[in-house]
Amino acid sequence: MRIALTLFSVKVRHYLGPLIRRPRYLLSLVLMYVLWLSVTGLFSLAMRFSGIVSGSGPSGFLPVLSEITVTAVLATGIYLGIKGGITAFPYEIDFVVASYVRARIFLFSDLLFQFLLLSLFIFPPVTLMITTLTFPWHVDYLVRSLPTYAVAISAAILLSHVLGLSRVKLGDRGSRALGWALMVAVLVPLLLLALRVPKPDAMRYHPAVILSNVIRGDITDVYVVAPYIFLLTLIYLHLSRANFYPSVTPVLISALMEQPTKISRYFKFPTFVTKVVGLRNSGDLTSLMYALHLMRVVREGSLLSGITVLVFLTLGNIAVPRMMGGFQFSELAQLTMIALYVPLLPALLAINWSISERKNIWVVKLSPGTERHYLTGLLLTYVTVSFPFSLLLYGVVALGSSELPFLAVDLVLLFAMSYFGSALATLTSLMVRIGSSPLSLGSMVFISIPLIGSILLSLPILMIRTFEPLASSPTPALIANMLIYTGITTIVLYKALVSEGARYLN
Amino acid sequence: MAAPLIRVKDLWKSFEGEPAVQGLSLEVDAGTIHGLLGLNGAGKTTTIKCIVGLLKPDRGEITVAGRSVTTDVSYKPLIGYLPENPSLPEYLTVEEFLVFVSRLKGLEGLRLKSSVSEVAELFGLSRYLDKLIFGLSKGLKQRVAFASAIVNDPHILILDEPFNGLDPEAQSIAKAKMREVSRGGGSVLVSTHLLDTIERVCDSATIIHNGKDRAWGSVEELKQLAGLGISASLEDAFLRIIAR
Repeated sequence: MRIALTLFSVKVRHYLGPLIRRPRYLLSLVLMYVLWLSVTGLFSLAMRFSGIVSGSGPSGFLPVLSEITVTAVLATGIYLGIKGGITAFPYEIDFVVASYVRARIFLFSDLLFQFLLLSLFIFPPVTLMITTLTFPWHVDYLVRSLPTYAVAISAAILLSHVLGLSRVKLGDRGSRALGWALMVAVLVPLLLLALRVPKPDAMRYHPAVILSNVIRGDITDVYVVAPYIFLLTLIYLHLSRANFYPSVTPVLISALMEQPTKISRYFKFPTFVTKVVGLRNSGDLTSLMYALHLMRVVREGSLLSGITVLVFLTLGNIAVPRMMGGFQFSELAQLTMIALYVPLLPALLAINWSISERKNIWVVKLSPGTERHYLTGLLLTYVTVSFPFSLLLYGVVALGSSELPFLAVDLVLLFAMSYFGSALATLTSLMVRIGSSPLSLGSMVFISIPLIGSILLSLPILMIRTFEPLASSPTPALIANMLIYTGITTIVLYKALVSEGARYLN
Repeated sequence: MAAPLIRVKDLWKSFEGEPAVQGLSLEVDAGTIHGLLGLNGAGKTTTIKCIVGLLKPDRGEITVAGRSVTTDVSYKPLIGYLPENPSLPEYLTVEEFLVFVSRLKGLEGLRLKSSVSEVAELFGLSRYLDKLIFGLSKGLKQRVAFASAIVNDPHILILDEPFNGLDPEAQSIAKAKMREVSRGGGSVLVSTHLLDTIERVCDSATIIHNGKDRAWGSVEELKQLAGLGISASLEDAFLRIIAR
């Protein structure tokens, strides 16, 4: 036990790094929390006012949000499980895994570590959200919900570890397949809602539904969730007997993304694509760099991770209003929401570029005049990925919508948000170096600048989107003005990127 | 006598106020292999990074093939560079990486294809061409990095600890390539801790200590400068010189 606690404390100190030693980094953590809590608080306030307007009380919308947040917690655990499950830093692999420390001791220290880590991100916003939504009855709700979230976090970690341990018996592929099957199973309630399929009675026994019922006040559901936890613990104890050390790989080296450590099968572009953008084609250096970056985001898993985040956000975006029942928020607003969080995709890709690709710049810098092509290729890759993907999400949501979308304005808005987000993410990743701590200011800046910056730059289009007569039937002159504004901003951002960005390319 | 292909004069470079290189000078003549010797942290890698243009000197003058590296980047196609602990794009296959580097160095079409095949063959990488770099051992990655440094048949080779992780066979290939470049009238600047390599391969060497050049010359001259006889080892000479 003492060894486990020692391993845990060293791991925490390693993870938080300079954060606990330098005031500057501590300030960055505070700022990150302020931003994180502000977003949660504003969202909760908006929900509360919407509830007041529509006449629904806390008992109406709290289970809805609880179901989404509990699903998110469980999905996070499964996602970590797919990535390897057991967080092991390189120093642990070299010095702990190679030592006499028993595998179960190491596993227990990691369990404590993951609980602390997830708690740091989950408990403060959940407390704020529940207090805002249920005031003045918040104490009763908090007493019920915080232990429930603790159970959800524990279940998530057990799931994560079980998936990591299952590699010993199922192999990498089998474990990943199991992980994705569990992911789909956990997301079923949200998927049903998004597809407008009525929830079958059996869904009452879904863990996320049970836990959210407990938060609502249905204490009897505690007895329904207990067998799940018991079964999960049994599987966990059984699997942890195995020597899983050879399967341990470094995961969670960054705050938001990490490279998959094993690429058993790699993606190859189809021939007709490589003729245009392949490394071997005779195109110019920009198309060479474009091909390089496309290959990277696909093969190293950045794109998949980013898309997973966006799909989950879209599911929540679709499911929330449908779950509320009592009040509807406009389906057209859901379409705008997609545009608002699309810059997350290039932001996440930029974080991974900074972590995994920046160190390879030396290869490019040895050839004169390549910086401009490198940056153009990087920007093109982000736009290529984020714009069509935003269109896809938009199409899916628009198809299920009973209202007609503002097609022309929406298309310009989606392009603007994708492009502005991509350019700002590229610039940010060049100018800011991610600190050694995943909770550093750098990590926060990587997300907030593309998100907030692209919203501010798209404000003229967003305003047009908000005014009904303008948005539903825009005049040709208005469309032309939007296009001119977007075009000029696009060119200015591109010029800024290639002229200023090259200075930071090192 | 021909002008030196690499010339560093009074180079200064510091990081956050900490001096790494302090007034270092060295010259590498055409047709020679020049060694860079020094303890850990002596300033060898900083000097090399300044020469290849990855770091900007605070002060001093560096010319490669007669061109100032701070103002004229046209020397870059002439050099092949191997960094210490090279970081490679692990998501590419060996072939894709070599093709990528070749294209950056201006190779196209048939020449590109034959150059990639040649260097892959030379370093025994032919059977790894379709393998991702990610899955290769450290030694194989070092072979890939070395192969990428010579894929354009450079006139000047700048190698920072090139034998790190290389097996004897690959070391022998690397040394042969270095000799080939110098015999062809080019220059090789190599930083290494392996003193016997300096003795066997290099025509001359510079000893760096605390960012300053302490001594330079042929191996025999270095031994004399250390006040030792010709039969003494380079190790003894090196330790004497840096102890002064």
